[in-house]
Amino acid sequence: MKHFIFFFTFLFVFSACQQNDMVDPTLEQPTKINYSTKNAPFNQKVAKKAEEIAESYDGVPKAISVNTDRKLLLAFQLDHMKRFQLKQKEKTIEKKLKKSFRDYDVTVSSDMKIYWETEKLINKLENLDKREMNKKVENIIQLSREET
Amino acid sequence: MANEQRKLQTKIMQEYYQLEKKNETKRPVVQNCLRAFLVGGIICSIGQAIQFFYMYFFHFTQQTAGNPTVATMIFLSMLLTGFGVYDRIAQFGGAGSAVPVTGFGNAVISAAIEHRTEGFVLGVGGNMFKLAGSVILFGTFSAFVVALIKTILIKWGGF
Amino acid sequence: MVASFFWAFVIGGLICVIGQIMFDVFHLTPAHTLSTFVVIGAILDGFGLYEPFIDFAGAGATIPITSFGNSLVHGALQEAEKHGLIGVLTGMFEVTSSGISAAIIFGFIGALLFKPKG
Repeated sequence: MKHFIFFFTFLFVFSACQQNDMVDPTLEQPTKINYSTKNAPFNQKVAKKAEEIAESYDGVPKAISVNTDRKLLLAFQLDHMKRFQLKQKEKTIEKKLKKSFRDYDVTVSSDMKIYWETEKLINKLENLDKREMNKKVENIIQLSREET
Repeated sequence: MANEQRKLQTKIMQEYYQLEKKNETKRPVVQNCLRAFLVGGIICSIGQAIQFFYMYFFHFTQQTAGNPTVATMIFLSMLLTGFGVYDRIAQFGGAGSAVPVTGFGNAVISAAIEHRTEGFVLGVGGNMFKLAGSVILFGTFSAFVVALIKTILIKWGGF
Repeated sequence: MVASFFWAFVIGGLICVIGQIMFDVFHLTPAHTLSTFVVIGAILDGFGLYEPFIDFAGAGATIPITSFGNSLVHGALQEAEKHGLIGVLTGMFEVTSSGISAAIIFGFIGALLFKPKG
């Protein structure tokens, strides 16, 4: 019985470690998602710039962003070992973006759900008109404001 | 005479003490800890899976998904308690099954089921929080004190 | 994603090990241990340490009973920000309610469905 428990514990811990190691490189060298935003209802230049700014921070492997004429939404991922400073990171990035894009209402989130939703939105950006896109972005921003 | 008896008593007591001590050291702390680690870890991983499920299929963010996750875990612990599986997990896992919220759920639900024969009002209603009541009491009171101190510090301390 | 499962497992497991040590080494009853955990969670949140911990460990920090104390304090502080001192009283169960209400409701349903054994 005892041996079994030891065996399973080690199996568990080590298999988890291995998987962890296997995932990390992909996290650190993210492949850019291939999407074209040429035909997006709003010019996504600001969003692209915001992504670059966010990714220049230490420990941020990937950031995605969309903008409308007035709003800028940015979601980013953080290396897992740096997640203790998640809230501070969020604040510093938000401050920086607010300074850089004064004309925009900036929302920054590190939440996985917001990241997924933003990714989904970006992938179908071309098929939306302005009104729909405004609504979608507003929905995501509302979701990120929700408190526990 | 009395002295002798005391000697005898103390001898027996000493023996008993030694016996107790001998049994005590036999408690397999390391093994228990490993089991607790395993069971507790698995329960938390299941919780993580449920949280991702709620995030992926419903409109919950990482922060708000915590509430339905806890509710679901307690629902699962109701099923496991009702079918008598949780007792076996608890026997194996010790604190690993008691410390997660499922342990809290198990304490409430098993008390409710157990006292059902005494009627729903006096039995179930009265005994439901027999074990979990202390958790709620101390949790609430300590939270009250902590929040009170912090609020006062923020308001008048200028933090 | 895999990393979050890994850390949920490790941190959740470690908290349970602390509980087991309190059982075995300090000879506390489960009720004492769980109460201590809840108080520790409340105090940690008072210092603002529990939130980063949740960010890091995910369910490894929200599933153990320590999060109960954390969310009680959280609700109280949230209300206190809006309504001042009286909010400490009124907001306490705002966040935690799901855990307790789930325990009560499923406890009663369980009592209706299952028969006691032995």
